Order: sequence, then structure tokens, then C-alpha cells
Amino acid sequence: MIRIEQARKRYGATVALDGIDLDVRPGEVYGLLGPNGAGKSTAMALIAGLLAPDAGTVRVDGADPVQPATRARIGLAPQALALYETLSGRENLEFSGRLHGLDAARLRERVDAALAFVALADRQHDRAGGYSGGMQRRLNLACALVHDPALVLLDEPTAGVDPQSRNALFDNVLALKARGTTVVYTTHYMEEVERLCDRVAIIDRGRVLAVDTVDALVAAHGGASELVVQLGDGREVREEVHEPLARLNALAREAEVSAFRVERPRLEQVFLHLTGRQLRD
Amino acid sequence: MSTRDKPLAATLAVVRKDLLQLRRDPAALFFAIGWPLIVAIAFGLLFGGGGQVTAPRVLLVDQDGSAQSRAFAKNVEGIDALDVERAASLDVATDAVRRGRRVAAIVLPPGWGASGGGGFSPDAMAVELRVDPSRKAEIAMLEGLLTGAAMQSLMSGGGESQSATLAQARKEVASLPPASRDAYVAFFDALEQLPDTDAGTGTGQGDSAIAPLKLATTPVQAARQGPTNSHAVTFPQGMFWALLGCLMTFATSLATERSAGTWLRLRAAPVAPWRLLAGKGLACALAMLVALNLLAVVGALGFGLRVDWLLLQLAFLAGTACFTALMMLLALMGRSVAAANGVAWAVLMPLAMVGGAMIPLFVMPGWMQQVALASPVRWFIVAVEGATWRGFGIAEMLPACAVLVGIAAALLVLVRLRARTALA
Repeated sequence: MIRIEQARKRYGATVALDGIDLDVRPGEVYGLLGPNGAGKSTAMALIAGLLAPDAGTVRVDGADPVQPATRARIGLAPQALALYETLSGRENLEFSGRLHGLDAARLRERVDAALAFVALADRQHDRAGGYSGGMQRRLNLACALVHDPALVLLDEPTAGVDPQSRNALFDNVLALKARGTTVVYTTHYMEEVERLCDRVAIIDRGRVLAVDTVDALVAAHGGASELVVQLGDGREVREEVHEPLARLNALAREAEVSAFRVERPRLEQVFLHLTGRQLRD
Repeated sequence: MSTRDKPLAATLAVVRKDLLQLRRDPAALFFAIGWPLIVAIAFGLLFGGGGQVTAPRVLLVDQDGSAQSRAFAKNVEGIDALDVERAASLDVATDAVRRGRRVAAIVLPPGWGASGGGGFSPDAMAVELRVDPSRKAEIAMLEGLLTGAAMQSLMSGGGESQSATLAQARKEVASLPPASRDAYVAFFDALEQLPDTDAGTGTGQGDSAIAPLKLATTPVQAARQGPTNSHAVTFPQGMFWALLGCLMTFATSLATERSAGTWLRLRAAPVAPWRLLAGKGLACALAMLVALNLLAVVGALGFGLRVDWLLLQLAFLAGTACFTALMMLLALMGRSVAAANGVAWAVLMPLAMVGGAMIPLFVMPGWMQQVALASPVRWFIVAVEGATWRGFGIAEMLPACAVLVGIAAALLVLVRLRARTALA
């Protein structure tokens, strides 16, 4: 669906992307995980056709996304809310649909569907400026979906969103995945990637450090799991182990085990391992 | 995907959205329509004498010179509601009306007194009114006042009121010496025996069966070499302020889109950036045309603005083209709202100051009128004045419109050059 090869992009002296390669398959939810300033949004802008790379190539379905015909297949929900506050939710969606050339009948159908998808049908005639932050995020997503794109780009979609709206957005992403829509999802929240993404690219300082499923990344870069055992005499044993069951059996032969748990490494450890620093907001 | 292939669809979507936003922005609406109306109306009243109704200015030409005409002229000069001056000749009076300096000329023709003018004689000659036909309300008032003056001269009204007046008069003269009393009684008898005839043939004479004055109205084609009233000056100025209000709103809208993040959504759509800008230009042009025509209608209906609607639309279209192109260029100059605002004011204020938006062009000193030639504001105001009080024909209108369209074309070239980098 998306193929980026050796893409470079500079803003003056700042290198935003330093020769990245990405290969996003049709129908998958692909995460771009990295701290602020890592180059995620620039990568999204290249995919959306908003920017052209200084070097390298970007292709969406084999075509240059700068071309309008390619952009017609892409829906972008930018990190900064892109809403007209004096227009109602419905009017925002109608405008987005008209920009994509939907005719009247199709526009009505798609606007209704998008409103239902983000659960804003009951507030559709209210001005967007009066929406809560979470509702505005959902409307921002709906504007990206109104023309029924094959590829949806979600740039930090949960920024500044309350837990309830965040869960609603997660459900929206999973619903998109279920219907076969390709989703590229940038975030610096690891739990979102772990919950939603089929594969994830860890990106930092304009470079892609690793790409794989969350499990594979953890297995490859997360280090050992941690076994925590409560012994009958009240002691707690905490050890990093590669084979937790074998070590648990060994401990059980030595003393009575009253409880235990295995703490698997998470993406935080993966990022720490790959970059030498914590992934922070 | 079911989509429209019409290339204008996205552009029209921007037009629709921008106009909807304008409609919901009270401040922008005020500066597009409200403020120009204030400029046009309030300043017109201010310059026209503090808003008080002034007496219609008329000229009187007594070509008869009879005792009756002199008496009638004296009565007319005594009417408080009229500003009456004597004219040296019929030509002088007619010319003053043609130039819009007087509402009408009252002409007492030779032989008027001898024919029974100012009385009820069916053979009486009419008083001629040479009038500016566009000033209908003032003419109607003048006709009423003249008839009233004649009636006053005769101490009579009409119908029952005439009888009552005469009965009262008879009582009042009863105590006079017999000689005097008899003379008055004979006069009253003669009045009562006057025939019940249609006394007037002039326009606005009214339906009264008995009238002491015949009026014959002659329209004089106005030469329109000067504004007929202060609103004739302030409405064209107000129209420029309407252009300015729309221009400022749309010139900053691109920067507003950037700051609000919506520019990203526009750019992500499968639409060439120049179509987005064209959409804003078209929305701006439509808003300008609506505001201009609204002002013109208010001016024509409420403030005596004389309008050649065809020529006025020509002026509006040319002015709208010019100032829309200027809006598009200014919109591309500032990336933030504050910057766009600053650039727009910096460009527009000098153009407005020298172009006649603040000081009427016809009162500017000669050197300033030369400087004004460089301002599109000047050409717009001249074109609008041409379609109103200057009385331009199409040949006189075309140069001003051509200059505006030429400036628009030049600005669009600059827009094209600037758009390559500004819209990237």
C-alpha cells in the first residue's frame, strides 16, 4: 500500500527524515512510534502528498501521493485539529466531502455514515466550536473518513483526549481495520501501539530503528522477562529470566511458592534498548 | 468512489464554506456592510447639514412683470419652507436646475397676470415649473406650497371650507364703513359665483375641483456636473469601504486557515492549491457584489442617489475584479493573521487616502488628483460616481473600468508568481 525508500527531508539545517524505508501492507494498522520531533509527522506529510521528499521515493498504491488522484484515496486526520468552528459538525463533513468531489446523494450518505461512525449524529447540527475536545477529535477523524478512503493517516489522534473518547477512537481504529482499511497511526504512547497496531516502526531522529510486530520487537530488543515469585516464608524473588517456567520449577523445588507472575518486557524497554533513552512525551 | 469530475466542484465548495463563515461572523459582516452604510449615511447627513431637512432651493423668473405676478412672486418669496431666489433670466434658471444646483425654476410667463393667473379663471395661463425630475419628493412639496400660496392670496380654500371662510369673512366686515363693506361684499359675491371648473393641468395639481393656480411642469435633463447632495459623495465612498471590509476579511482568511490548521485539510484534498485560492477569490467577489448592491439600493431608495444601474454594475464588476485580485495577492503575503492584517492595512490605507475614500476627489487640490491616478480606489470611486451623479455614458465609463480591469490583470500575474511559493 505504501512504499517509502530512502526518503530524506530537511527543514533548513534540521534533518527531519534521514533516509527512511517503510513498507505498509494493505489492510494493516501500522504504527509509527517515536518521541516528539522524531520525524513522524514529516513522514505522514510525505505519505499524504503534502510534502515531496528531498531525496528518495514515496509511493501509495504505486503512485506519487503528490498527484491529486492519489490523494483522493487518502484520508488525513492531522495532529492539530482541522475544523471550522463556526460550522456545524455536519457542515464540516459536507465541506470535506465536497472537496473530494462527492456528488449530492453520495455526500449525504457518506456524511451520515461518518457521523454514525464517530457517534456524533445527535450533535451534528451543533457548531464544532462548541464540541468538547474529545468530540472535536472524533469529528477530525470523521472528516478524514467522509470520502471513504482506502488509506487513513492518523497523526497523534488521541492528543488531549479524555479516556472515554480515547477508547471510542480505539474502537474506531479497530473498526477501520475490520473493514480492511489501511491505517497509519503515529503516537508516542506505547500502550496505543500495543493495543492497535499490527506492526510498528520505531522512529527516532529521522531514522527508522526497527520495524516488526510488537511481540517480535519485544522478543528481539526487549531483553528478558522478569519473574516475580512470592515464597512461603514471605520472601519475594525478582529475576530476569529467558525461560520463566524452568526457573519457577527450580525455585519450587527449593521452597514453597505461594504466588508468582511473569512481567514481560514492553516497548519501553525496546525503545530504551534501541535508542539508549526513555520514550517520553 | 462516487465523485464529481467537474473541476469547479472543489472551488465552489470553498466559496460556499467561506460565505457561510462570513455570514456567521458578525464582526466581518459589520465591516463589510454595516460600517460602509454608516460611512455613507452618517457622513452624508453630517456633511449635508447635520441631518436637518433643508428648504428646497428654487429660482423664480418673473417674465410677466404685472402687478399680479409681482404679488404672487412676493407671496412665494415669503414661504418659509422654500429657499427662493430671483433669477436674472430663464436660461440662467434652467441651467441651474440642469446642473442640480436648484430643485426647480418657477417661471411666470409673459401675460400671466392678464390671463387671470393666480385666480380661478379658466383662461388663466399656467405657472411653469422647470424641474429636476429625479427630485420627485421636493417637486411635490413645491407644487403644494405654490398652490397654498395662491390660495392664501385669495383667502379661500375649496368646497365647504371656502363657504365657511367666506361666511366668516362676511361677519368680520359687517362692522366696516358702508363703502368698504360693500366693496368686500361684492368681492365675496364674485368669489361665490366662480364656476366649478377643473382649474389645473400641470403635474401634481391635485384633484381639487377649485384651484387658484395652474402649474405646468417641464422636466429638465440634469447635466449632473456636480453631486446633487452629500450622499451622492458619501455612498461611493461607502461602497469602497464595503470593498475594503470584504477584502480584509478574505485577505486574512488564508492565514486564518493556516493558524487554525484547516489549511492542512484543504491541502490534503485532491485539489490544486490555486483552485483553493480561486475559491476564496470567488467568495470574496460575491460578498463584494452583494454588499455593493445593497448599498446602492439603500442609497437609491432612501437617499436620492441617482443610479444608472447598468453602468453601476459595470463599475461594480470592474472594481470587484480589481480588489479581489488585490485580496488574493495580500492573502499570499502574510503567513500569520497578524502579518496578513498588517500587510493589508499598509497597502490599503495609502491607496484609500489618496484615492478619494476619505476626501472627495472633486475637492482635492490638483496635485493630489494627479497622485490619485495611481490608486485603484480613485478609479473605482470615479466609476461609481460616473454611474451616479457624474452622469457618465458608456464611453466615459470604459476608461475607468479598463484601468481597474488592467490593474486586476497585473495583480493576478503577481498572484500567480507568489502562489508558487506561498501555497507550497
